[in-house]
Amino acid sequence: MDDTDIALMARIKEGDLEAYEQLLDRHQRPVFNTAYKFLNDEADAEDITQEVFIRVYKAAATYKPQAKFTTWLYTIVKNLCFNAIRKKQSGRLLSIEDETVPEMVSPGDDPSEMLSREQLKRRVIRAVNNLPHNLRLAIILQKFHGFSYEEIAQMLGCSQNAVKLRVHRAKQYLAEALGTLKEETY
Amino acid sequence: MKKGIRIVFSMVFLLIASPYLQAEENGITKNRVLWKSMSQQERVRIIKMYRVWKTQPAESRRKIQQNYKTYHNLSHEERQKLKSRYNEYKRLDALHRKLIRERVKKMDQMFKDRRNMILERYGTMQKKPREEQIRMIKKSLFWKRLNEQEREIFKKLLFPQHEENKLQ
Amino acid sequence: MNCQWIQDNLSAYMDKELSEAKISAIREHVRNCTGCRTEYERMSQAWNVLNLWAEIEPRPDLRKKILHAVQEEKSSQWLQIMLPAAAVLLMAMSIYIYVGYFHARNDQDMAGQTEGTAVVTEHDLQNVNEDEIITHLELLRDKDFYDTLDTLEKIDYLPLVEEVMQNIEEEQRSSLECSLV
Ligand SMILES: [Zn+2]
Repeated sequence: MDDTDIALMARIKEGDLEAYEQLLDRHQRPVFNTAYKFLNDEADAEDITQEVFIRVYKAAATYKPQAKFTTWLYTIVKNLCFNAIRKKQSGRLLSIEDETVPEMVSPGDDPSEMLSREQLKRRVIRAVNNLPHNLRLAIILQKFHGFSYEEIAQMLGCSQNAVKLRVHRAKQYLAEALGTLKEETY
Repeated sequence: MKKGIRIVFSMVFLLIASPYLQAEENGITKNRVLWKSMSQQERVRIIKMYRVWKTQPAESRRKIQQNYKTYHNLSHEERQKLKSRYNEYKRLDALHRKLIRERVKKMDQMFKDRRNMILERYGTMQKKPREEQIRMIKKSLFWKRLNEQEREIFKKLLFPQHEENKLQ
Repeated sequence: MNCQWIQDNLSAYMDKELSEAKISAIREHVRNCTGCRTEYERMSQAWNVLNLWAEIEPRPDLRKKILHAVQEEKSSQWLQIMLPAAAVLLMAMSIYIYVGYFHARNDQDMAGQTEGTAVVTEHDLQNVNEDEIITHLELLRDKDFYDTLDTLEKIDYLPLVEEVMQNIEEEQRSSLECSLV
């Protein structure tokens, strides 16, 4: 029961739904979290995850294993995430999140050490969300999924050098954004 | 294709079964009188509604019926509140209506425990005097993140007309 | 190997995306050069702080939803092959019943209604089941209202959403282990 992804895809092609469930259980969580971190929105991330796996199912009939399965899978994730963010930015008006996250101290909860850590986390999320899409996705794939520059390059459809540069710029940006924070909170 | 078959099935079922199902329940006689007393114009409008209704998927029909029941179990005040809110909602342009629906949908899709927590807080808030409730809403993050235009919209939706003087 | 080259490659160094030779060269340089060491520490600290952003569990619903959608997809593929003929048959049958039934009804009580500006013509009443309309008359009269009722009700909850989300984030955070300096 420890088939490779490619073997599972072959079984799905024959109509084996059990294989599909295995594949789903293996990849659903990381795919969901990629979309969640990229879009910072659970509902959107769910929609994307669902769409990704429906596409995987539909594509099984014609799937030809050329690269690693995950490279192919995350190429789909990337396309859907970019579409979603484009759509989201065109209909900004009442969307649930806002670019300006006002700092609000919730009443009755103020151990200052805790608060600063929470602020730090929120600052991290905001900093990541401030990154341009390409940089953001590159570091999500690198940091949280441990993909290599080479794999990310294939997913994003760019050169390995471009990935290197993106990850580097993203880290510099984060160091900048989070460095100032430390001075504020400690 | 599948949907088409479902519609055909339900049509066949309705057409065969409806003569036998009709006329028994309470209120139908009353409705019949109402129907006969309606103007031609009103009837045409309702027939149009009916046609739309028939083409809606079963799930949304169920939702509407559920909403209908819910409404009739509400208190008079709650009914008035929802009616006037609906009137405001209807006046919004399509884009704003859609965006409000999306916001609500997002809330629906939240994890269950989060939804429950929201409901719980809402229950607590309801026990407070209305002025206090308004103050809480206007102090919320939600309110702070709205822009001018959005605030105007939500003012109308959340605070009925006669509360105008309590605002600011 | 100047400091500029080192600093441009610090990120790849952290990610172990360089050759062994380059990795040991950078390690050596960073040990001896204060400027590059500071930059390295700054970057790797920021990188570690990202660990604060933990993974979350998708709702169990999601798996079900996906499997359901795929089942539908599968059966619709099957239906596309098998059922057009059956559909045509059913369609013919239903039209047959339908026409017969409405002829009867229209003869009974829909004869001659021609008054006012908007007239209920024979055409309007075709394809319409009057009894069903009467059963749901009140609902149909205000259908759009009932259609939006649940949304309208939930508008009351919207002002509470963001505080609750924040509370939960805080709870998650307190149970979080992080590699923080
Ligand atoms: Zn140096």
